[in-house]
Amino acid sequence: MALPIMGEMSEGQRGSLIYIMETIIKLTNINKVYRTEEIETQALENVNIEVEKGEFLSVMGPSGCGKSTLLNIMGLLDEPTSGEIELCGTKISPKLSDERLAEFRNKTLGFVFQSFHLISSLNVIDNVQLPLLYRGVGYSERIRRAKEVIDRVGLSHRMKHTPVQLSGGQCQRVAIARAIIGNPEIILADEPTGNLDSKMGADILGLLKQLNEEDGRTIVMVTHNEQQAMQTKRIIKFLDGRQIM
Amino acid sequence: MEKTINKQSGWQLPSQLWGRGSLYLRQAFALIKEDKQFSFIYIAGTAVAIASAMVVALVLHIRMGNIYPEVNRDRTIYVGSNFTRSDGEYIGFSGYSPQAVEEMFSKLECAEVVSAVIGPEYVFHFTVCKEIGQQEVSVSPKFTDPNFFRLYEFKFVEGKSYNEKNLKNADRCVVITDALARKLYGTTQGVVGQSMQLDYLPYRVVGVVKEVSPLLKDSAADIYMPYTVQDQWARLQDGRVGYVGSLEVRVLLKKGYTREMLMDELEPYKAKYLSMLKSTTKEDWNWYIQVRPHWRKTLNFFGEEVNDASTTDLLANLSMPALFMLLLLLLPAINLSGMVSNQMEARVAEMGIRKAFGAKKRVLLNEVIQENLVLTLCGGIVGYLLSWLFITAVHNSAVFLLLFNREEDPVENVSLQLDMFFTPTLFLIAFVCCAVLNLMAALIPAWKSLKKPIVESLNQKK
Ligand SMILES: Nc1ncnc2c1ncn2[C@@H]1O[C@H](COP(=O)(O)OP(=O)(O)OP(=O)(O)O)[C@@H](O)[C@H]1O
Ligand SMILES: [Mg+2]
Repeated sequence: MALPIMGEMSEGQRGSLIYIMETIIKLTNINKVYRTEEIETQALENVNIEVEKGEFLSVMGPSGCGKSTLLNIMGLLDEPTSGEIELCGTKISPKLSDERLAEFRNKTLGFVFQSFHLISSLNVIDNVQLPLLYRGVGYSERIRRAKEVIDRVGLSHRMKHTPVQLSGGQCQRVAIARAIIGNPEIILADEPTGNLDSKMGADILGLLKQLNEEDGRTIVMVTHNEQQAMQTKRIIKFLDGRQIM
Repeated sequence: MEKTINKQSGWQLPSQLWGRGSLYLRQAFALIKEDKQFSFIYIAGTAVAIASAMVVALVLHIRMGNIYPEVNRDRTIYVGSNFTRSDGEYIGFSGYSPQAVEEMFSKLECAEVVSAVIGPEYVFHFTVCKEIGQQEVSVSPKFTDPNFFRLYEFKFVEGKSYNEKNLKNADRCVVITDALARKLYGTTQGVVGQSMQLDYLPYRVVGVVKEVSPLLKDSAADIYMPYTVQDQWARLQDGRVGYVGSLEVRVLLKKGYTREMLMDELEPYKAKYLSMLKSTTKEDWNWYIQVRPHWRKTLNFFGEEVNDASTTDLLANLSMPALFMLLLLLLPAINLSGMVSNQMEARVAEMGIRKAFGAKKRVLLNEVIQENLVLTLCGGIVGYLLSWLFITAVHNSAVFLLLFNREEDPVENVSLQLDMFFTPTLFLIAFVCCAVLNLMAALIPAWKSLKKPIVESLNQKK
């Protein structure tokens, strides 16, 4: 297991090193209820999950079972109805200010979505450098690091293209470059290969595996693809908002 | 989390110090360039809103504001009179006689300056020339007393006004504008003492004043002379009784005095005149002294009462043009707001993406504000230029002159003077209104979407 983070820790943090190292994501008694006018959907029911640092975890289950909801709650993109979230040893309380949450998302989390969610008006390099922009990194440094990660996903020759000028697989590479540029501990990928053909899907999965194995990033990936799931370190399965495996 | 914050701050500070403000501005410009069509409509919409409001405001400003030489309009009162029959039926209006000017107005407690001018209804254009046989120039004259040049603060390029003695003796001396001086003598220097021919009689130039825009019809003329030299003067005094004549009286109130105080001071003369009238003509008429402040004379949206006693209708009168202005400003601005907020809603998903990757609400709102301010500012500048262009294009047209009651007495060329139109306050008001509306239109949807969980913004249909 690679531990790039150790050198950057203060003395105090080293005291709790074991805790941080062991469990990077901890969900306790998570419930999520969607209430619309008349219908009430229990998207997640009493979910308890722990993810170890450096894990590559697949989440599977039929459509509508709550996989995306789970990932969004993990990624602080949505709030649970009840339950506790702990990321990198920090309890995420609903009282945390927007500033702190934004900082947290910026530095700890990287997202890859099924539909890419690239900003269509920005070109590849501008899309990729987004997380650094909001971290206040200077222009030349942003560009340098963006070039680095774009190179890593193999898109150096498409730097100035906008998303509409790219194939689905290329878009997802851009999204992965964006997810890793800020060196986040955790990468959350919601069906990253769902919109891609099997060859491109395999490419993307290869990239994610590389990030996990070489860089030691913790990855949680939602997938419908049994074959892909088999290649990850652990699989959990959901049915009707409950973890069944 | 702490560790990463510490890690960052070390090497980031320098770039942050210079980078933040310009970064947002650069982003704003990038956004503007991105959606060119939107930016164009935005700027055009703001420009039209500001330009149309500016044009109305400028017209009002020229009619109401303190503009050379009518720099004391807020204290200037125009005094006339009206007759009605005893049953109330209107007979007509009238000016005053020199006797009235002497008896009624010369000793007023509340007046700083009193000036008498022959009413415009008795004055016609005529032509002048340097010497008989030379090129004739059509001029618009005013027949005044010397006080006219104190009540309105004329700037003398050369010489000075004629004096009381000139008035009394009906001396044929004139004050002309620099524009006329150039036309007649080719210069504005050394013109005093020169002569000119007017109705085949020689006149002497005693002063040259800076030209007045013909839009200011109370003070504008090409040539000014004592009202006693008007050849019809004798006739204009005939037949009438006592105070009534062809002179319009204008009073500059001392600071702190009101129109009501002037009315009180004039009140005793009313009874006196009515008894004179009755004893000479046997008519049982009513006579009203009409005391109108400048604004009342220039803004008569609600018509004029014979008695014109109401003083509190400034607001009522002002509300019309103000409403009109507001409408002109608001209609395009509200239209624009709809578009801005639509566009913001379309950008909600993008804001969700930005938030997912660490944008703070404050930063995103800042971006929205900056982008809108930059666009509104562009629109404002374009609008200001547009209003200028518009006025430059139409300033000689009949419709435009109609706005200044010059339709019966057309002027050949309305020279535009920059200081008349340079009204930063008006522009600022219009601009601030637009900026507030535009900002609200953009910020409300942005704020609403930022309050929702990020997933909802992300999954919002574009
Ligand atoms: N915003 C929402 N409002 C109401 N109900 C919702 C909302 N989002 C999700 N749901 C419901 O919650 C349940 C779980 O949805 P979720 O998107 O997590 O499923 P999923 O497992 O990701 O499905 P898929 O494999 O199709 O992506 C579904 O029944 C869905 O209808
Ligand atoms: Mg899903």
